[in-house]
Amino acid sequence: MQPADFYVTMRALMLLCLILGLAASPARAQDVAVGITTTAQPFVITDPSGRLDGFNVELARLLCARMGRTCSLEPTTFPQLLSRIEEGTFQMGFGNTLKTPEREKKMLFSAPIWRSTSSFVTATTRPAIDPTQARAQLRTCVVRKSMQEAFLAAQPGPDENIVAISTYRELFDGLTGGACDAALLPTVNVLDFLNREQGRGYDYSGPPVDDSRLSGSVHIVVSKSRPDLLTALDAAISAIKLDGSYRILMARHFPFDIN
Amino acid sequence: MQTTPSDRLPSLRRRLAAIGIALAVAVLAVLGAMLVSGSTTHRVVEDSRIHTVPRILERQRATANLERLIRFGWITATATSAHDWRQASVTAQALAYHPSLSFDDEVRRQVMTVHAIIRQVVGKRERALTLRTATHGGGSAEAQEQDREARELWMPQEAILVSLQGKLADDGVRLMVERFDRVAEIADLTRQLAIGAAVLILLILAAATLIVWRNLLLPVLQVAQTMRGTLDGGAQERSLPSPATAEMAVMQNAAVQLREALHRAALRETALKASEQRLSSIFATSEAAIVLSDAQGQVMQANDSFLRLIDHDKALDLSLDHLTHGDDAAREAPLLRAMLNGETDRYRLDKRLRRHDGSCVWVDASVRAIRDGDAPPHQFVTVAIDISERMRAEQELHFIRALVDQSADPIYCLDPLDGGRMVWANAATCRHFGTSQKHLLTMRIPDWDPNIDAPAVEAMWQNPEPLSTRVFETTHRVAGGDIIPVEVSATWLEHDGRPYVAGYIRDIRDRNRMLMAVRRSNEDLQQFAYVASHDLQEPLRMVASFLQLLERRYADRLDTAGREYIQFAVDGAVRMKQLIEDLLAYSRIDSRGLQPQPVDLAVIAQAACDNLVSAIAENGGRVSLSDGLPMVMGDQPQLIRLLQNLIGNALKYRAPDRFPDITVSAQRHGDTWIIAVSDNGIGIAPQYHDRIFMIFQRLHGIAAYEGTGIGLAICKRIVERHGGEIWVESQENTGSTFKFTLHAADTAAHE
Repeated sequence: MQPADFYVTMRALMLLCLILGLAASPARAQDVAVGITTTAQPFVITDPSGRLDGFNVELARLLCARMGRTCSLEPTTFPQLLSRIEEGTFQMGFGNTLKTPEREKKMLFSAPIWRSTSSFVTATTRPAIDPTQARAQLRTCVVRKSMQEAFLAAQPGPDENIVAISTYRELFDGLTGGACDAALLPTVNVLDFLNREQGRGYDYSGPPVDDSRLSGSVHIVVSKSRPDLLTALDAAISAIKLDGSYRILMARHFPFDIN
Repeated sequence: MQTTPSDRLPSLRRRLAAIGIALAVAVLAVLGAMLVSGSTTHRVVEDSRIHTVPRILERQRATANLERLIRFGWITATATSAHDWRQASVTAQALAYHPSLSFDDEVRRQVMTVHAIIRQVVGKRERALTLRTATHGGGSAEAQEQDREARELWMPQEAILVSLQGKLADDGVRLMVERFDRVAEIADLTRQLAIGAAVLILLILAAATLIVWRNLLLPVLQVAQTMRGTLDGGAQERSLPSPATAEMAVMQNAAVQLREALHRAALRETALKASEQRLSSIFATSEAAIVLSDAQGQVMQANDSFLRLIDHDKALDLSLDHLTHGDDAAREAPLLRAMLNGETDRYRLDKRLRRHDGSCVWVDASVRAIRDGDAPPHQFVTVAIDISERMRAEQELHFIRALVDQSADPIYCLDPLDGGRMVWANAATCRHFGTSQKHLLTMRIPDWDPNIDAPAVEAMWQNPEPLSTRVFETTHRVAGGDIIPVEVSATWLEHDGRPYVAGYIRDIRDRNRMLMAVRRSNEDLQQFAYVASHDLQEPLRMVASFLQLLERRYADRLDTAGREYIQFAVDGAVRMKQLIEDLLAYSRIDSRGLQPQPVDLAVIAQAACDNLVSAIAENGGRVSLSDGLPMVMGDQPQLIRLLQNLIGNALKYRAPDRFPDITVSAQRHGDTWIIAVSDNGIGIAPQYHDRIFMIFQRLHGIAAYEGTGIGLAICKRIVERHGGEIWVESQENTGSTFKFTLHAADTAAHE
């Protein structure tokens, strides 16, 4: 076994022991399992050591500190996040989730933390995309179980033109690797991609999609079994907005006010 | 149902309720206003928090993002590094499409325009970069031209964005001003409401205070002052104002009633004190013996009369049981037991109480129990009245009644108001009439007196003469049907305001027979005395005449003794002659007397004095006749002789050392006159006061005072013939007063 593999194995074992230990300890009943999607920067940054960072990570830690809760952050994919929040194995989830009636039946939504729109991203050489014809004309990458996937699914066109991918990293890789002709994703999430070398030659394709399902407030989701946690979370969000902590955190990760 | 004045008055409760309701309405109105104001304020605040503040924050964020857009656009247009202006352009594009700049159509439209310009600027910068890359640094002029065009293209956008910032700032200010104006309006409204509410509440409180003061406090104070004055005993009556409410009318009425009750209580207390004083005075001074005892008969209090009654000094340690005579205690026991059992509250009993010396006194004891409610009596009040006299009287009455009942003489009682019906008769009356008492009590006088003068009797019934007694003779039909003579003594009595006639019947058959015998004997005796005295005078005159003849013819032949003997015989014959004449006069008083008729005593006395004029003159005496000598019923010659004898005695028995002083006077006594003949003579010893009226009785020798000793006997017989009495009041050597009674002439008609 190579040293790197050993370290990875040991890290996994330690993480497993930690999870098992946390699960077996009744004294940690107040601990909150927090799921964080590994989206694009600056929301989540995973350094080479596996340490999580970024806007969502700092926001999660800031809110947990304000709530006086001990939170255990676990990176996950967006589909996993929704599933585990629904199951209750995650009590709180940071996935830049838009509120829809269907989701409200399965989970609780916090006060809005910022607002988003969805935009098509494609090569600068391509003409502007008509959202209603996107599925019919282009292979479009979307995050699985996202509203963007649902939007495309509602548009006419072949199923193969909807390329559902679990993570943003794989989505941008697919876009630049030719797996899809365009990508439909939150506008802000594209900023980092466009500013990196990987995103050279790509740009927003026209203005954001004018559809209520693809724009609006972004929320933190909470398991339906923890309404108490939602109350504490909303109070914490209000507190960090009032004392300026949230504004400072946002300014550190975004070039403009995304709220 | 009757209505009282208080029922017609408004109710204080209603007024207070109205005040309360008004106050409650006012408070509710104020609370409602405050609620509305608060709700409005809250709504404004909530609206501000939910809408205005987010809109202002939205504009602030948009203003900030516009500022960033200006910066990113400027960087895009002017940055040297392609990396910088590419990143700035991407960011500017993302920013331009961010919702924070999409809330306002004009901003959105302007930003989209600016974004389009940025896209053009990026195009020119890309072409400039391409020129520079293609010429390896050459073609810089065209590249610079592109860059310049890019900058010139951008510069006007900054003004647009700054203008948008100003617009957003103005919008924010407008929103804030509008909100603040609304808040100020709400504040003004709230202040006005508060002032109005305060004024309204003050007005209601003032009205409530006025109403409470006028309708409650002031009347209560006046009632309280009146009641205080009443309780302090103020005699003056304080008038209360007219009540404003029914409750105050009730209170004032209650106060008036209380005052009247206290006044009545004071009067009762005064009356009670006076009554107690009277009772105490009565208790102390009552002639009736009053004693208070406990349930065991122990004396608790007794008045002086009781102590005097039982002859004790103090009431301590006395017991009524011990004081009561044993025989009477046995009679009293069942009465006392009934009272202890609650069957009676009082009883009355004649009983004997033992006195301190062991004797007994009869009392009429009235005993009354004192008890609390239905409880057994704990005290007794005994009022004892000394009935010893009554008991003695009753015993005497019983004795007298027994005497009357057992009397051998018939005694009865008639009711004149019932036609003379017999209402009571003793056993002798029953025997007298030979019938039962029951039958007797149905009879009237005609039933037993056949000779009754019915009209006269009826007239007598109509004219009762209380306590007068009339004795009369009549006849009765007695047992066996015989009619016998009786003497009835009828006396008017009065009992219980009703006249009665008590009759006493005497069978006079024997008396009449004896009276007839005596009358015949007296007539015979008078005839004998008259004949004897008349016939004796002739031989006595012959003896005296011949003795006197013998003395004249033969005196010289007789010696002194013989002459003296003849003289003795002559004197004896003369005295005998005088005795016979006096005896004849004495006997003639009844046989030769006249029927009594009214005569003037002054005339009679003067006639007597005229007959004695020589004797009066011889003795140097003086006879005084009092003024107003009355008219009396009498036989004038006998009365002249009566006074002549008495005045003559007064002259004869004169004191040797003083001249006779004789007074004739009269004094009325009932139906009679008492005539007195007083002198200053030698007087008569009391032991001889009866003897002097006996015939031929002398207190002195014949040698001292001449006379036969029949004068006063004649006086006595004359007075008795006139139905009177004669007596003497005298002491030896103190003079004498002879008194006799004669019927007054003015009452003769009633005889």
